Amino acid sequence: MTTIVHCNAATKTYGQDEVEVHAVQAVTVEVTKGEFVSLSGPSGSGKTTLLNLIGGLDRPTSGEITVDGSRVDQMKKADLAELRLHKIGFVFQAYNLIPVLSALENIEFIMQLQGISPDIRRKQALSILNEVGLEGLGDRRPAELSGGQQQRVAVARAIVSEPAIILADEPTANLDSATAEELLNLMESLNRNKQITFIVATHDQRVIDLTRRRIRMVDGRIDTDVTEAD
Amino acid sequence: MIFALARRNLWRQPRRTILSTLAIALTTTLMVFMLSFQFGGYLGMIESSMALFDGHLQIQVKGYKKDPSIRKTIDNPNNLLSKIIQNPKVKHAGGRANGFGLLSSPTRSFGAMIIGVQPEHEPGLSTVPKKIVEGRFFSQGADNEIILGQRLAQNLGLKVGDAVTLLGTGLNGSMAVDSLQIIGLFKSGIPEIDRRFAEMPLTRFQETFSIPDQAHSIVLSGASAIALQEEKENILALLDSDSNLVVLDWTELQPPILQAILLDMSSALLIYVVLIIVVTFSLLNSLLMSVLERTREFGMLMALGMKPAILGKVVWVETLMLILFGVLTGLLFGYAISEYYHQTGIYFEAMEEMMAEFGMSGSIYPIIHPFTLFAGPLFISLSIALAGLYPILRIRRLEPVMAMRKI
Ligand SMILES: Nc1ncnc2c1ncn2[C@@H]1O[C@H](COP(=O)(O)OP(=O)(O)O)[C@@H](O)[C@H]1O
Ligand SMILES: [Mg+2]
Repeated sequence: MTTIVHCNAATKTYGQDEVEVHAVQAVTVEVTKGEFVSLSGPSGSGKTTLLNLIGGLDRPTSGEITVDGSRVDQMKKADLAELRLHKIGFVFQAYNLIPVLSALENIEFIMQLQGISPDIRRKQALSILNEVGLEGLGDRRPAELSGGQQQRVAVARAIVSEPAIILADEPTANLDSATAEELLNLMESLNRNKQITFIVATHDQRVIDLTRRRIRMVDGRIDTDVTEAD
Repeated sequence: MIFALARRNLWRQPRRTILSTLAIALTTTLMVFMLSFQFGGYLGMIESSMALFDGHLQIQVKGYKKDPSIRKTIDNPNNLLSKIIQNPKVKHAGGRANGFGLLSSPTRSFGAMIIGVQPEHEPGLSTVPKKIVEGRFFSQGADNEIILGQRLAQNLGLKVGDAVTLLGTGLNGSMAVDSLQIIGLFKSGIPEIDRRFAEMPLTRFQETFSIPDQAHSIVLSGASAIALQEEKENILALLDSDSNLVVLDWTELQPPILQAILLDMSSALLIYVVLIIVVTFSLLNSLLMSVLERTREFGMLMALGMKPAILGKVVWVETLMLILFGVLTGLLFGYAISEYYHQTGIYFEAMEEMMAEFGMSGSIYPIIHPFTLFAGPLFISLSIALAGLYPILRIRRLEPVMAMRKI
């Protein structure tokens, strides 16, 4: 199996001297292609920090992080932006979308930054829009969509350029439980049908139950890492 | 993409965008109009003060202006006139001679500037012939005649039709004595001139002051003092045979006017600078606000892989669009207002009396010139564009993780 993410003793310490916060401590973990991983744990346990380290948004204090063959911990800022653009899909808790662009344009946005021609990106965006169940809503601005619909657009945008991995940080935190479950089901089916690798940080037990591999963090360390047999 | 994003971003806060545009437009309108009014005023001042007596250009012997001695004469002025009039910009040209003399009536005597003028040319060069309040100006071939400032005649106790005796010093200390008949009185409104000036035909002057076929200056007039100022070199070239002659423009003939204009310009400049600073700071404030309130969004965009440089360009284009709309609107209104008043003039009732003393009407006519039109918009644009770089520098320092944490 292809390794997509490899963390070797990844550590992130905030602050200096007496007030040091060890957000992530010596985390060693490997994620292979096609996995659907949940990252759970209490608030402040380091989920977001770990996702940011893997996503190249933050640099580890020590340790090695490899994403799709690139040593993220050694990359320059501009190269990190390039890596995020081409290899990583992000879904955040909120404020995912560009308010002045329509749903369809938001989905096209990443492809636009990548320099993909207008015809191709429009075609792909339309097909993904249908896939996430938003046909007919492409012209709406984010403000005209419900919270769940907005998160679907964010998922659509993340998968449309077929990144190596999608990192979702509490994507359901602002949704009611029914909508949250629908979104999770969508991600799960995308993972199953397209072999897209997901890491989802969450502290919602129902979300955790839906994933096959469950990593639990406590105080910046991996507490348990369980993979369910199919 | 940059352009489309910038355009839509501007309409996120339509009220702020419109207010910013209006602020730029208003300042631009104000500056365009003020400049056109200001320079229109200068032009009116130059024209009216040159029109009374000095004309638009003068040819003199080098050094005459500074030290006007009767010896410093131009030979054969009529020959020179025929050359100069070849320049198409010169409408009128005429010779003059100047001397100092004592004018006497049977009861009193007063010192006066005696000017010899050519009756056929003088009406095109000076407004004195039009300011005759009693009697008339010289007709062609006039001989032993004189016109006096009204005040001078009053002081002498003389009227039109009376004789006046002239006593002066001619060339090389010779006596200049003549008896002349007063045929007209003029009132220019300028006390100095009405009290001390007298004009007589140039040919008679040449005899009386013993400077046969000579003059002290050739006075030229054209479309305007500025128009002829630009023609100075060409006119000088027409005189190449005589290197002792100089061509003087309005700045040299009336240095106090140039000084008054420069002084006024420097105080006006201060107003413009303050105006530009005020509008720049108000714009900087709203530009900064529009960037700060989008910090989280910018963080998200950068997290997705958008380079800060591109993000900066979006904001830069937003700023430039704002400037463009504002400045174009302002330019249009400024131009329209200036053009309207250029046609009608702006009448100042309170100033009419004062301005009449300088031979000006009570109206100022703004002018439209590339400088008055574009200087304001240019400096406003530059200043705001420069200020607009500051919010962009802040974007370049943004870290996506930090930015997304912000509310
Ligand atoms: N930029 C930062 N500066 C200082 N401390 C931070 C920063 N980011 C996170 N932390 C701290 O690191 C720890 C882990 O935070 P985080 O990764 O956000 O946890 P989670 O996402 O699991 O709630 C927390 O104690 C948090 O306060
Ligand atoms: Mg978190």
